[in-house]
Amino acid sequence: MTVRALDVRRAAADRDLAARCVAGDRASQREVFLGQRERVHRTLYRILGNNSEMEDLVQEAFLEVFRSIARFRGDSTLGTWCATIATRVAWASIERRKPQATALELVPEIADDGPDARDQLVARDAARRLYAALDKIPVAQRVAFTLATVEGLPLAEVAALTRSTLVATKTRVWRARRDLERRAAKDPALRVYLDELRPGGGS
Amino acid sequence: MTDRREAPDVEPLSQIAWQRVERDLFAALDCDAAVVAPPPRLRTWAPWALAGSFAAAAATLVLVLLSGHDGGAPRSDAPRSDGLASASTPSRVVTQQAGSEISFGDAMITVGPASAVTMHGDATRGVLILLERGEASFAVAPRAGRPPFIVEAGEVSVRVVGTRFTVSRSGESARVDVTEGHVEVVSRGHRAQVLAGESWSSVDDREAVDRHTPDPDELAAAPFVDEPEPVAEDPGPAHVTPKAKPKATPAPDQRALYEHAAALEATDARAALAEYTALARRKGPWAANAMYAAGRLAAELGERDLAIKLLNSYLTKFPKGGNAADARAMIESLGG
Repeated sequence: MTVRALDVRRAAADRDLAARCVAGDRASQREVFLGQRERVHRTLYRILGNNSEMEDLVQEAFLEVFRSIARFRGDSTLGTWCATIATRVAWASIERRKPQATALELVPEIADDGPDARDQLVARDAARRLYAALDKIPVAQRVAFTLATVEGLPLAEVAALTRSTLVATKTRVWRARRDLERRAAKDPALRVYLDELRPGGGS
Repeated sequence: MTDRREAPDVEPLSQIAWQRVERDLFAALDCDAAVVAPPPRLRTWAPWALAGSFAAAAATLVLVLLSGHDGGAPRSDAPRSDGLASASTPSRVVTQQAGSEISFGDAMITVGPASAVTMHGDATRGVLILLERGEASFAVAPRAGRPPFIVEAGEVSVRVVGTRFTVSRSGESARVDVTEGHVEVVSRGHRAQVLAGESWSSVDDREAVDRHTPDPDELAAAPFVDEPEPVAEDPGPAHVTPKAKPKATPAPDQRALYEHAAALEATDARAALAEYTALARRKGPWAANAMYAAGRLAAELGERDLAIKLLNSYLTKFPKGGNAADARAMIESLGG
């Protein structure tokens, strides 16, 4: 079967599943929830960082998914549709209030003090610094940057998730990086971390 | 992006957290299905109007109790016997450090700090407020001839007669303080009239129910609890405590301890666990909640054995407790 034929079948299956959800079929809604929850969570996490309200936000995203699923036409996959909504929920969450950067003490303790544990601590501290810096840049840039650079999605996909043009998305990612680079000039840990996230950077 | 180094790991949600999200999500969807009407006027509101979490689950349960429903999921075409109209787009208010004052229908609602409420309906069709967490105070016009105004918090439903009152929620428990007028409280099928100057607590009510149905198993010594529960007292049918008689209300220090532990969860979960554990060992109405909370938190912290031990202790001590079903489900999910 060709890729095109697979896409057509998947789109039809997604539309069918969405229609059953619209009809209020709990089993279908649960199928969507179980099938998409990791992607929704991952999208929220990438944009917001570790967040004490994550459970609420995942729930908000799925409520919005099911409340708007009647508008799903199958132009994208159901997964992309859910990720788009998760992106909007994260965006709204940032606009509602500036989320606190991950406090290190909120992160589960690492019992072992070997090299792996130290690496994890350094990585978490760097992530905390990154998200603290992201709190200070415009939300559109933050969303584009985290999805493109932290999550590593293609720019075209980021543009689709944010309902934006490719050019605007590129500009937002570039401006975000420029802003973060400026902040990293005073923060060596952030500097190293940004270098590692840079395409072609790191080892 | 192929050459980039690893992005920070995504901290996974625990299995219990996913179960909680799923439970609350589908409870909220049930609530959606039960409620259909235009959005209310709001002076202050969150940009994304979305229904609540824990309260929604409780709402479904309590509405069933109120309406005498046979237990099936509410349907949008089924008229509510409590006369509450519905809203297709509930509005949600979440506060952070500062509270917020909202005009909703014909009521003024003061949402306390670190609180969340979801509001359905309007002044002409009736109002349903779901207190998800924290505290909210209400000034509501007398309902004589007006549509119903109901506040739900965890397992508690408050039907307003016309009053000023405050509802505070801690986990699945709630407390109602009436300043003026009176309200009718429904909790786990029990009704109580709470008058001006009186307080009502679901913890008092629950313990009273437990004491009314003595079970030898309850008296089995829980290995975790090293102090006996208080001697049973008959609190009367309504379990309402006039403020002039503070004896039957939860000891203020215990309540404060519990709330302190709950607040501590976000910043220092292990310290919160220690506080819950200490409180669970004491006598008094907050011990049950603290014991369950300690078990839940231990599970969330990955302390499987401790969690199972605490939850089993809770079930031994309070087999009919308000959190018993959750405790059993949690033990099962932990493989205990």
